[in-house]
Amino acid sequence: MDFLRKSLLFVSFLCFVVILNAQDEKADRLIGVWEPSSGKAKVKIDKIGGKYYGKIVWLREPLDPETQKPKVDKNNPDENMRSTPLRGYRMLKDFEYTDKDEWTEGTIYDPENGSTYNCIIKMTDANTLDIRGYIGVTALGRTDVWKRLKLPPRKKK
Amino acid sequence: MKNDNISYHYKGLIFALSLTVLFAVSCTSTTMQQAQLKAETTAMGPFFAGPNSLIAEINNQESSSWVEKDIVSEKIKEASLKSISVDLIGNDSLDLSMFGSVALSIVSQDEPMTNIAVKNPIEGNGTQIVMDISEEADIGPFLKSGKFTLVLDWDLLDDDFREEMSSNVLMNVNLKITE
Repeated sequence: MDFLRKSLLFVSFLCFVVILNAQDEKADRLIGVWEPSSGKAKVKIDKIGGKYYGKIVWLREPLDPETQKPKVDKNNPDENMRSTPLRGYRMLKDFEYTDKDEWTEGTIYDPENGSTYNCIIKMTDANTLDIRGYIGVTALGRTDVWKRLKLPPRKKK
Repeated sequence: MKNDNISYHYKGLIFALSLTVLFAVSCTSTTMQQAQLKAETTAMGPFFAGPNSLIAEINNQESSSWVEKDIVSEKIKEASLKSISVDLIGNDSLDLSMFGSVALSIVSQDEPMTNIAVKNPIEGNGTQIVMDISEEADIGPFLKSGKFTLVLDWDLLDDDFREEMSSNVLMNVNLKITE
């Protein structure tokens, strides 16, 4: 009886570990490089400390037309942070995976106006995301469709 | 009638005294202290031109990152940034002239990622740089929790195929500590 109980406990633990790993794999499908519908930028999503973050890795127009220098976060409400370069800027922050092909609890930053919005990411298929930024309730927002980029392997010099 | 008045005033005095004692007990004294937190951020290569993230996981409950070893994270009531400097370490060929900019963020399980410092552009060479700090970022909740992650984003000007890159981050902070 004691052996049976221990065996059941062990099997339950194994099932728990398998389920957790499966959950992690599903959550990590978000990792990759994505392109918003405007084509103005490319965003690389990766994982830090269990949450997901997206940083701008490419800009179609990398230079500010006024200064002819790389674009910076000139609309940031924090004046001391306005020299932060946009290339490398984490515009998606703090997303956590739910079990419905959705990543929630995160925010999206719009460098064109310096505003931060609540955001939900939904994966409609393996290469398509619905990124919905909203204020207060999800009904008061806008959805953009992002496509996954398939990158060629880099060659070592 | 006179006795009623005395009784009334006596009760009022007791009530006032009780409130005073309650107030005194609920107030805790705090002290201001300057402190330094040192962390090593690392990442495995290769590294490609553009933003590259070096990370330090801080857990002051296990091993203190405070230069002043008497700092107890749970006693931190408030914190503000005084200055942040970054030092490239570990490899003689690593130099500031290889980078265009650097930015520092802080994040924890319970707090959203917050940008706290930036230096753009990076001019000159050498290995150490002082960053421009955010005046609005509230780092108190991160330091109080004792567990957080520092993310240092270096903008590399050209591909670099070294196996590892490390940088020391030194944060000078003002702390309000409960006694």
